[in-house]
Amino acid sequence: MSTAPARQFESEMPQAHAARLGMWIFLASELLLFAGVFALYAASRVSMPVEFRAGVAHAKKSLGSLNTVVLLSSSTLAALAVRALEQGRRRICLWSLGGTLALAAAFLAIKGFEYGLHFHEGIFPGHVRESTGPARGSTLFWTLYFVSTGLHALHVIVGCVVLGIATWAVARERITAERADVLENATLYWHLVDLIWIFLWPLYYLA
Amino acid sequence: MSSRSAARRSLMQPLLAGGVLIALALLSFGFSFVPLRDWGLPLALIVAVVKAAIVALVFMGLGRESASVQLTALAAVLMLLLLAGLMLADPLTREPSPVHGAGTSETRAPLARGLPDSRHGKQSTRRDGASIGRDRR
Repeated sequence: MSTAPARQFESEMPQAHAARLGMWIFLASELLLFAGVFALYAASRVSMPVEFRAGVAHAKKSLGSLNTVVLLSSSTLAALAVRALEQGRRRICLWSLGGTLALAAAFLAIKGFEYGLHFHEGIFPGHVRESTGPARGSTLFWTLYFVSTGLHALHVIVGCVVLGIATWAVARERITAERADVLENATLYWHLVDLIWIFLWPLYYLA
Repeated sequence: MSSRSAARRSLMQPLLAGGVLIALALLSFGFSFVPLRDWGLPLALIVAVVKAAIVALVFMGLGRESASVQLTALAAVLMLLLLAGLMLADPLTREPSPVHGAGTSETRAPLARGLPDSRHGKQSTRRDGASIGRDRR
């Protein structure tokens, strides 16, 4: 990859800073997208504490917790990949990125399995079968659950695409140690996905 | 940016941070089995904030970024807190109103005031007996 800055930049430093700031502005907008969902959850939980506690009690805590460990591990490997590339250790970088993608696929598989269990119990977005014992009266909780985790899963898929492209670029030496900041920009998105789940997990699974 | 790249950050740091994150996650998981009553969610969220700080500072390198980047991140968090806070202010400042035929042991949520009770096909009523319509506000 050419290291010459684009025409509007005097040197690489301002270009790299502009790219980093632009990425963070995008991340901020993504955070605000989830802010609406979090705010709606907060207001709804205060208004319907019994239904929400029942919904949390009925959630698949073990699967959600497993997904938390999976996502935290993937974020760790993504950060490791950036450090490795900075030091010119391309092999470690590629293995770390591969591990990140594998764990992301595992997260989606677990999430899909979990959705299947909910559907089997008669819990759907916007509708909860009345015969479902603990989930009775918790339609709002489960609708918010599917919206929140579904939106998050969409971001995981996008993150996989972004990291997949980055992995290809590192493998083809389009991204090298001198431009490790490009890979770091890509992993920032993945860390935000992890950040969102760090808060979704206690809200829908733990308490 | 290039000066930070030249610093050759340690490979061990993200691994250590990841270990701490998973340990905190296991701690949260363990706490979820303890009957903490109303303290369960606040405690879980406090642990979540600590984990988020580790991700932001170590993995995302927010502490080493320029002031403009840090302000951008701070602005997003403040906007989130403002939105959640304002949405919470509504139900928190309303007086709860018991609804006839409510199936729960606690009083019906204030947000439900004025909405038809789908189980009984009736509208909620005020204490003085007057009915409350959807367009009351």
